[in-house]
Amino acid sequence: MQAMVEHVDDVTVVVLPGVSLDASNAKEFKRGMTSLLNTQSKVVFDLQQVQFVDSSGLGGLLSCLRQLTAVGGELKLCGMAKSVRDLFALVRMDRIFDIFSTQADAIVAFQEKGQ
Amino acid sequence: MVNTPRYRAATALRDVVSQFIDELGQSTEALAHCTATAIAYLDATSIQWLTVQDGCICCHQRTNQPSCLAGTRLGSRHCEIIEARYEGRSLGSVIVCCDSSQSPALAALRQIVQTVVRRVELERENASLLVELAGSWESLEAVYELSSDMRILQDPADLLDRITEKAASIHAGLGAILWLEDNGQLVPMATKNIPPVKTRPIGEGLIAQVVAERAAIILNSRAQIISVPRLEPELHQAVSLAIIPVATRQGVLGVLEVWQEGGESEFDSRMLRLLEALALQAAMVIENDRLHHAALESERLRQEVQIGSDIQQILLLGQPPEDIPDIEVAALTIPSQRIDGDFYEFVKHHERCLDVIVGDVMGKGIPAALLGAATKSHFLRAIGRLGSDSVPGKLAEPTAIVSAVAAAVTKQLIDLESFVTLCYARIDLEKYQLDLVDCGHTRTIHLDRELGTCVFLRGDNLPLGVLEGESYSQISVLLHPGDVLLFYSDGVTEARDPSGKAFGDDSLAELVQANGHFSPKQLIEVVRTVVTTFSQPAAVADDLTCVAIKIGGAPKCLQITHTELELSSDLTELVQVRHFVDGLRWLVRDLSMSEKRFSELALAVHEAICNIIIHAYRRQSGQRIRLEADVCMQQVTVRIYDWGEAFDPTSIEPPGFDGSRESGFGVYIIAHSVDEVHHSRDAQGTNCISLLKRLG
Repeated sequence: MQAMVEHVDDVTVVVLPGVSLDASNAKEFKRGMTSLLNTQSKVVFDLQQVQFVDSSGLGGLLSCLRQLTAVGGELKLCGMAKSVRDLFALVRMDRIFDIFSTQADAIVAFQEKGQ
Repeated sequence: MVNTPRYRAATALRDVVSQFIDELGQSTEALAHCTATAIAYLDATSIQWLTVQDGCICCHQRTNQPSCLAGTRLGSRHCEIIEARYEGRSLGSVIVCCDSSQSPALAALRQIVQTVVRRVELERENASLLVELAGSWESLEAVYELSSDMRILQDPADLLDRITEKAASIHAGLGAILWLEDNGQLVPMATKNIPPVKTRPIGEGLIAQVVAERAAIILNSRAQIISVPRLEPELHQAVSLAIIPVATRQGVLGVLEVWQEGGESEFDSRMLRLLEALALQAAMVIENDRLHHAALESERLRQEVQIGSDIQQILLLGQPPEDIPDIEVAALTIPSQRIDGDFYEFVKHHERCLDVIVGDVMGKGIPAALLGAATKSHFLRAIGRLGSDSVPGKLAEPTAIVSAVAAAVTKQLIDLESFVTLCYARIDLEKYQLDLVDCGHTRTIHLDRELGTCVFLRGDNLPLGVLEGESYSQISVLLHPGDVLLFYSDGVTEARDPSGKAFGDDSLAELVQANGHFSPKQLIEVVRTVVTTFSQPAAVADDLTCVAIKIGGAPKCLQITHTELELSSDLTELVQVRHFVDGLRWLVRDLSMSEKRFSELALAVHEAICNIIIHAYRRQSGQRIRLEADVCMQQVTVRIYDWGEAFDPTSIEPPGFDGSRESGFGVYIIAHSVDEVHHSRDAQGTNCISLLKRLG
């Protein structure tokens, strides 16, 4: 499954495909993002379509975050369903990730930083 | 002593004659004088003039042989002889001398003589009746005295001695023995005026006859006595004897034997009456004593039963704990006629773990009860000792505890030729597991609420006290909320109905299955009622002992919707799990579970299955995973079964929350997404993780 990638100014927005990001596809998703994360420095993951994230999915997202920040980039998340937000809160990942309600908010956050 | 007129039982004819003469004289005096009749009494030796008339030649002659005998006339006088007879014997003759043979006095006098004879006869009879009465009075007096003695003297031996003394003193020179008959032997209870005698067989003489026929024998002639074959040795010199049975309604207890060796008195009806009264008294004394002993024995037995019952209550039976939230315990004992060796004890380790020990000592009565109490105390000691030896926080295994107790008691049990069957059960609510060490005990009944089955659990260890050096194994069974366990003694299953049919363990299992939804207290009440009704009207032969345990955390509701799913260990199958969970969501739609809460449950289920696939089955595909879910008013429970490697949740380190690690969240998520998590693994290698989410 291919993620939809958009560019808004210098921000790359990835709309994650599929209903769930879990043990069945987390690794695959990560692999698919590797090249993008190597080349882009401002990335937004839009999870508007994702209904379900499990710990593997979370691990995958974390891995993306680390890969990006290792090369000086930044990752923001948006469009998370309530249950996904609750999961992040449960494992305190809401302090690690920058989470925004909408895509627009995430993009604005990049721009406000004046980067 | 009361003063009574006493009449001699004299039978000498002389007295009769003199009485006759007196009476005759008195009765004829007036008549004789009026009619100028002379009356004299004549016997073989002499003549006695009662009325004398002047002008009567006979009177004048006053010879011993008056010539007017035989009706001869002497001068103008007429003489007549009237014979007087008394009891067939001649009392002599009465001579009547009057003017003529036509004298009216003659007829009258004849009449008078007969009348006087008759009167004398009646008086004699009267006198002898009075003698009899005196005899009876003597008997009454003797009885009265003895009754007074009985009130004062407590010892039956003393009373029997008094009785025999009285028997011997009714006449001088009497010997007396009071014998008791006991299984063909005569035992002397008291003797008077003779050298001591010993216990001897009853023999075939007079005493045996008296006992057999229950009738007295009286012999008053020496000739008769010496002609008796196999005569009792003490009677060989007797000239008269009386042997009276000492008997009650129930039968002959012995005899009172009395005899005389010199002198001339005979045993007459008066003496017989007295001896009979004494014999009756003796019978009453003996019977009374026996009843007294029987009452004492019965009291002793009652006390033994009471002591036994107290031992039972205090030492043998433990107190069911009432403070363990999810383990409900009730116990029942119905004691039998004699106490048994049933015992039980409860050891609460902590809120989630209870040990139950149920046992039965072979044998009955106080010895069995004491062995049971000793065995129980060994268990408590072993638990304490092994508990302090082991790693803190880790309990000693049931097999270790039973082995320790067996090492301590087996030799003693073998020496006492007894053994103990028992069941050591550990109920662990951390694992929702039952570990059971069964040593020859009745099979434990397990009502499995999940599967709806009712099965017998049994191990194959020998009872304690059979062989030294035995090792003990335990079986493990998964428990579920709502499950019921029933431990019982064989007094329950071997209770018999009037036709001899045993109650049986199948009937008991049926009872549990039918009544398992009640509380344990109600369940054992049902068992009590059914078994006592079954064995009526007889009382139960062995103690009935029963311990019922219900596992909690149970859905209190009766309506449970149950769904299942089988899948194989592929990550691609996770979508099936999502469908399953969607199905659950639909099932709870009418209930008050919030979307948030349901999502948390769904997440936990998902994570659990991922763990199974990745860790338990190490990503090996095609392995079996089974899901079950129960939805009821209060909660949703999802159980996931796998047959892979054992998983120890305590071995997983907590995840890092700083983003430095990408894995290790699964267990944490599960634990924090549902209200209760239980892991268990049974002896067949079935792993089960159970997730419970309450509705609100």
